[in-house]
Amino acid sequence: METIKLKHKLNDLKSGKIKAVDNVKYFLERIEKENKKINAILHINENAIKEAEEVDRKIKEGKAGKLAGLVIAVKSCINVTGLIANCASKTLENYEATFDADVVKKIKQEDAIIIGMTNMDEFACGISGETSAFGHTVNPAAHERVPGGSSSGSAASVAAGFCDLALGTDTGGSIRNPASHTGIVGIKPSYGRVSRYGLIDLSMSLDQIGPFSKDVYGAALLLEVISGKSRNDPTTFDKEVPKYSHFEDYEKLKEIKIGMSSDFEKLCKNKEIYNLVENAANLIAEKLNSKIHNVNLEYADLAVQSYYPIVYVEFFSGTRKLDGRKYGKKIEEHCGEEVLRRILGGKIISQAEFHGTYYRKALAAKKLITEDFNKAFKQVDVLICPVTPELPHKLGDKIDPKDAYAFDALTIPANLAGVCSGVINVGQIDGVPVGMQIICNSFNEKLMFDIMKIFEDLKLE
Amino acid sequence: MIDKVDKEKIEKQAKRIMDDFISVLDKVPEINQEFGQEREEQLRKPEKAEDSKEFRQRMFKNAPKVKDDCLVMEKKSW
Repeated sequence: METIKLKHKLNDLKSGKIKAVDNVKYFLERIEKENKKINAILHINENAIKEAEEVDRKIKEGKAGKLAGLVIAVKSCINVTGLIANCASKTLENYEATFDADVVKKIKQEDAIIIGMTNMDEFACGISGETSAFGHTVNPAAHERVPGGSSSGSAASVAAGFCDLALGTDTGGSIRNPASHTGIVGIKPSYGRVSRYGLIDLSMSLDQIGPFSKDVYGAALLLEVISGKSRNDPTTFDKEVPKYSHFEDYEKLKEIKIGMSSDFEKLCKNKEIYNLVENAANLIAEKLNSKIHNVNLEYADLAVQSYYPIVYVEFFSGTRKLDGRKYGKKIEEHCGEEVLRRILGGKIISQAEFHGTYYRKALAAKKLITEDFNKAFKQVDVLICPVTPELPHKLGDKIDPKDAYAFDALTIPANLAGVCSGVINVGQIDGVPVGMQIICNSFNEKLMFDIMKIFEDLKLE
Repeated sequence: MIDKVDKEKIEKQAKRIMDDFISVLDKVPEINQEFGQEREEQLRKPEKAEDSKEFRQRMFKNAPKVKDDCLVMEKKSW
């Protein structure tokens, strides 16, 4: 069952050839057998089989939705009624969600079954999956390496075959980084494309919820379902949601303009990674009868330095509700080192804000990076670049916080500019998967998926 | 739980990281930008809270201290 392409599997589920109940049971058995090693799932939905029976009934009546019978794992910072949304922190260890996030409501309406909640870096503060209070997640594609973070458990769940699809969140690379390290597809949608209502936030002006899948079709279909305006999230836009999973014929995409940037190349420390991505970009360009243009991103090298002050201060502000009064425990007394660093750093910046030294400077840099991307997308239709500057480190390696922050140097720019970016695997180095980013302008996810699909098909040729 | 000594170390480290980052941002030119824009059409309208028994049960289950129909909180330290 695991190896079936998602589109075929969905057809089999909708036609009754595969029962939703059997799909859930299959994944529950996989989790039972393998999760002790991988530690990707923190909490199982005890009602999953019952919910699948209801979906089978709807399928039989011809009333089932777009995701009928598919099994989805959800990052532990997204609220699912009755399941534990602990953000992989002792602070919220037994916190039972009281409502469904908008994205969860949508996937339930389309008859997917949520199998459980996934491991992650504590409160999404991390790049490796190692800051979880409930133990690190193992990379199913390279056991001695970290799976990446912060959506470590969601990526590992898909890669290990614990679910069909998963939801993660991406503030500075938290979907794309683990998607790259585990060799799967991961999407950071444009800011405002997906409602954040029901997400326990890291940085509200940058967070986006997005999908993981083993193939492009699965990611496109899930994004199609969760996208759209929500009255609960004023940052969402009332823009049409195209059918991302209906891919354009490549003939119609011929001669689109593809860009790569020498500014990104400078940030990529491992040249083998850059070469792999460049070769993949050349393959796409050749298929589309297109040329690769060099694009200037003058301020891309300031992304890390402008991102962290914004995240620190927004995270500090967002965690003030975690005082242990209404729920959970007081965060400063029960969190790990990285979470505390961000809270204390955010507190300092909030004070310094009166002098305009930190936060406003970071916002000014963010604006310049956004303008860089605006200019770039006047020159080209799509930008291609690596996901991380280096291969993931080995589990347990001690990394200085500043070096860890620099690991997101190639993913943060898309968050600061609010544009969309998808990751697809381009190969391996020393047995470790390597991904590439396909970045398109805000709300141009359709083109992003079309290009990703072309590359996926090219890999099969 | 992180002890007081480590907490001070972490705080100093956070400050150092921020100082390093901001010194790099010194090359950013001054720009005029508006902060905190409000878009009338995107403001949420006040709504009546949902009266759900299930929600109440879960909310009280999550609370550290409950007495009858109330959450119990400490005095003075707010």
